[in-house]
Amino acid sequence: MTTLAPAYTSGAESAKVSSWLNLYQQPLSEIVQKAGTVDLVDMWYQVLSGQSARKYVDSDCPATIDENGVVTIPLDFWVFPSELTLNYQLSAGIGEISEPVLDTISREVDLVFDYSASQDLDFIIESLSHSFETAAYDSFSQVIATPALTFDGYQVQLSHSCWCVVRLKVAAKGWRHRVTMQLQKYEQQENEDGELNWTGYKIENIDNSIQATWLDNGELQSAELDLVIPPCVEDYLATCDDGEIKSLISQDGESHYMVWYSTCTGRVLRARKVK
Amino acid sequence: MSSLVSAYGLPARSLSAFGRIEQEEWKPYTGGLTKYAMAKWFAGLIYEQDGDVKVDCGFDADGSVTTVINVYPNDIAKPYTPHLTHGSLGGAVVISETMEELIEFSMAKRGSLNYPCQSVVSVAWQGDCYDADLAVISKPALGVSADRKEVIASHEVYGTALVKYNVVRHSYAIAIPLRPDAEMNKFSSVFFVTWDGPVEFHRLSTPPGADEFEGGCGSGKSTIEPPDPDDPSLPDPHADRTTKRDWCEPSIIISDTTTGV
Repeated sequence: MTTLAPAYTSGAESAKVSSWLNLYQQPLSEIVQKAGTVDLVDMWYQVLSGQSARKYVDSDCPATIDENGVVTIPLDFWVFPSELTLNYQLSAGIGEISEPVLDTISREVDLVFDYSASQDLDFIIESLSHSFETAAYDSFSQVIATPALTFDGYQVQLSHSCWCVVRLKVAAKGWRHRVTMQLQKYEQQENEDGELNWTGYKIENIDNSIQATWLDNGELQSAELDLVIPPCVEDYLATCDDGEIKSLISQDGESHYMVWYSTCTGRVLRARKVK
Repeated sequence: MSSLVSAYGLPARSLSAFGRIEQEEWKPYTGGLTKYAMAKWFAGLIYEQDGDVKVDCGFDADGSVTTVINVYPNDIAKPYTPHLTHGSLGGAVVISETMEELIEFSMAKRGSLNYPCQSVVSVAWQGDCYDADLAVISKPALGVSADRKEVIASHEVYGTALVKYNVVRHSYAIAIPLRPDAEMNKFSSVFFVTWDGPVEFHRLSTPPGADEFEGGCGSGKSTIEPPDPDDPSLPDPHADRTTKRDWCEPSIIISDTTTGV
């Protein structure tokens, strides 16, 4: 790979617009959101050995519950402004946004130049290394001279237009934030016998977004990021798992039926004759 | 080889000057467990049977991503060369297929096809054909345009025709090994063809979680420590057991003795 030194002057000059801002959600691991056979086997042996599979912890799904039944969901996102000194304001539909932390993000991508001489990235490039994955082709698929590659601000440029694929390793600086959502998932309620039971809430269709505003030559500009709620969090919130309510529904002499039902759906989870 | 393929539900897409390049889609359970695989695993664990069920993660035995690219050239006599930016490319397997597609004519003579038509097999008009005044008119004959991207009616109509037509598909098996030094997009690759026109390309998709699995569905060895038999908190093995599960955190799965029920 060829490494290029930072040659740009400033984002505002190179971008040829006064100021701009991009929002980007930190992607989540795909693996931690799914169970595999390894998880099945591990959990099964936890159970067989008489230990609770509660101990099999995979805490990478960003949802934790406290003793009061409140679920906390932290999601990280980035602000890539045209200049790091750009003053911006953030608001979230749900949740609190943390103070910014200046951080570096690295990206590695295959960039296809489809008969173009420049490509725009989502952020100001701090450093870049590259290697050509293909020859350069003209519009008749004939090999032509490999162009020189440079970058300026958020733009990657070729010295001449062609078709080619370039592997890029890019580092960029931006402001990292965290939005923390808190939702009441369970509540303690007293039943008719004076016993305290947990009641769960089925939480679905959560939409959350981040709005950013900033001034560009005195004009208010805005950008919005629709946050992706990880599927494991959506499933967790939608699961109404409090079906441990005990209810006596009949009695005949020495035995009676115990019925467990979900307070969310009313569905009978289990019925058993008890002596 | 010949097969009938329905292209009914495809969104209208115009064919390029070269034709069409497609990657075969990943199966819905690629990278995940089917109910069958899960049940088979549990059966193996409970009854100590061989629970070896292959979980398809889209990887070959050597950890390469394996996929297939289908090329449908407009002109099958015109030479082209396939390339791959990363990985290995098998030889072309040439297959003749019959496509079936509904083509709508809105007072027009030309209807776009999703695949290059080498010859029309049959045409079945769906109901009547109409003129601009919505009077019923004769059903036109259909031919193929010179570039094979459209069917052409003998006169303008409002109408819908079910067209069966022959296409020629060139299938290429592809294996993409891990890019050992890559931090992201570790299996990324671009398939492209060179011919006497502009380069045509298709950016290959990788199976879910490919970057993290790095060539396997997740493997490892775990040791579950047997519980201390003298531990008073150990559940009574004969007691009822309550098991709860949670979709988010596997840790929430509970298997404790049921007490006080």
